[in-house]
Amino acid sequence: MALVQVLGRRRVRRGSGGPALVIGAVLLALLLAASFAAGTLTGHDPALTDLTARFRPPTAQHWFGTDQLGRDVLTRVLVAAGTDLPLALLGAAVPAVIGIVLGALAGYARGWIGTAVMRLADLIQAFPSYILLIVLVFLLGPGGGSFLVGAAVGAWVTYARLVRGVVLRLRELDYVRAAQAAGLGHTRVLLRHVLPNALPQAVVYAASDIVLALSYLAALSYLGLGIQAPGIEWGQMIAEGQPFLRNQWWVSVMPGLAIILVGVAVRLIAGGLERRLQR
Amino acid sequence: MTPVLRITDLVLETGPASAPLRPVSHVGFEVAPGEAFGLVGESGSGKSLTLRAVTGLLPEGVRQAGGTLELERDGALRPYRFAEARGRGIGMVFQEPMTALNPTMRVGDLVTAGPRARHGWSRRTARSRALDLLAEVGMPDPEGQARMWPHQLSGGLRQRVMIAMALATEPSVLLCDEPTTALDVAVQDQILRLLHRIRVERGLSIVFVTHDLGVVRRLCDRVAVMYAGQVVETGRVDEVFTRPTHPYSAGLLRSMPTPDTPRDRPLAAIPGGQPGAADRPEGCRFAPRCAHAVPACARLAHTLAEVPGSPSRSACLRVAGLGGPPLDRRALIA
Repeated sequence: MALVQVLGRRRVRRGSGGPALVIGAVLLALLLAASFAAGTLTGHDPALTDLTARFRPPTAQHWFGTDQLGRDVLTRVLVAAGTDLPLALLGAAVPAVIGIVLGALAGYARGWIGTAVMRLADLIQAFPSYILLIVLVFLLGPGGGSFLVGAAVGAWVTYARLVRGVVLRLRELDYVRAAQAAGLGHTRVLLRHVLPNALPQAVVYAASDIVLALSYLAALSYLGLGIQAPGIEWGQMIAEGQPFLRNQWWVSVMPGLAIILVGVAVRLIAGGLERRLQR
Repeated sequence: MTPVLRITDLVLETGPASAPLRPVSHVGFEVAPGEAFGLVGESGSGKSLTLRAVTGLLPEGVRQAGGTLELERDGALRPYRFAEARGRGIGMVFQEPMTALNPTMRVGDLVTAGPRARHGWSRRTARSRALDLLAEVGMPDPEGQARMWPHQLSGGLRQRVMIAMALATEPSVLLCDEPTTALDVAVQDQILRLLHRIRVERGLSIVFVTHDLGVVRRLCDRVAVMYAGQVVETGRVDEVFTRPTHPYSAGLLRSMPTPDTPRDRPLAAIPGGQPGAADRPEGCRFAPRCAHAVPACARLAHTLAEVPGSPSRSACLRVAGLGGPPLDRRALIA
């Protein structure tokens, strides 16, 4: 509801997000759509091994070449997008939501709630983020779910700090007092009058965090702690192709390029959002 | 007649509990039904804090350390809970129309947000109520403006929206914190007319906090003059403005220019400045600046007393005959 309020405001802004937002969103949408139709689009089965067709370089038949088991790399890159993109989005969204809620509570309620939240944030921030993530995923066992938990535990802190700071400022503003004076309860004041005005910064931050989440996921999979075969994931593909990097570069480089493409798309979206939401 | 609102002995504290400062000490007043009551004083006199205390919306770090706040209900004054009073008995209009409206809500939604949540109104009901209210406060195009965002409105229209918001809860008392200070003079005039009309039409009581004596004279029936956290004089506006019973109110009046004030002469000013909450003198807090002070003033315990031959009540030892050589209040306006 609060988010709708924030994004709805753009209707009155003269400046829109510009083409950047649209291009970024279209890129991601295309990639995601292609992942669902990967087999049909390329005419190959992502899991079909063909030992007679190992390490084919990029050709008209295999645009991205084939890997050490003769599987079509393009098909696998596309299928992997169906794993990487949703997990990256969730990996940014879950900690953002948790952090925004806790930060807003900490800023609005203060007292012992605020102290508890911020001390917890200090505690978590004391760990290097990759170490924390790897330890948590190691404890929980590899997989997408563990990745989300690990990402959420480590990354909510930034949002909580960000939103708490803004809420601390907002709660003293007249319109928040006016809402209270009009008889609105704390929940409503927080949700409709404080949060929508605190969200823009957090939303922009979350958008750029998608890349970070993706790199976390790829790194985990590269280390064997992320998505396990037969699941397909870019970091995992890079790791598999690494021994052959010198002569059969395409096996690792193609999924790497996919990560870069997503990074560019997300950066475009974040930049566009920032321009759209700034006052 | 039973007053609609009574504040007795209000004490507000800030700072550590062991050595608190008291920005407001023992302030009291009551407001009759349909009456406009003015609370005047300089910045720092505690008038706005007093008003905030009535709604329970004190700034961080300020706490109510004493006093009774009562609202009329079923013919008798009863202490109230803030949450209850905010949604019903009390409405509040803030000083800054630019910062007092949530920028992420459309005007129509904003106006009825409070009662809609309280009564569970449907979107439709809330909308038609909002339009009624916007029309009542004189918005030129309620339909169109209900769909606008606050930043699309001028300062005067925003202040009207805020008044509509306060009226949406059907209050019996409207608290106005310098509602015209941020507006230019022509718009000020419109808002004052609007408040007056609403007051008459609704039989609403208004508490008006301002440093603008002209506004009080125009709009209010009774007035309390605050100085350094205390009420120093209270009475009917016509009396206080023509025959003040406290040297401070007299000084305020003298320093207010009128159309007859000669242009080439500097305005009269009260020497010195108002003491902050940390360095208030013993006894009468105005005594160090007062031309009529006597040694006994420094030992005066603050109280508002009847003034012989005047309907006003004054805290001045000499005027109210609380001790020391009596002072004829005619000397104050000379």
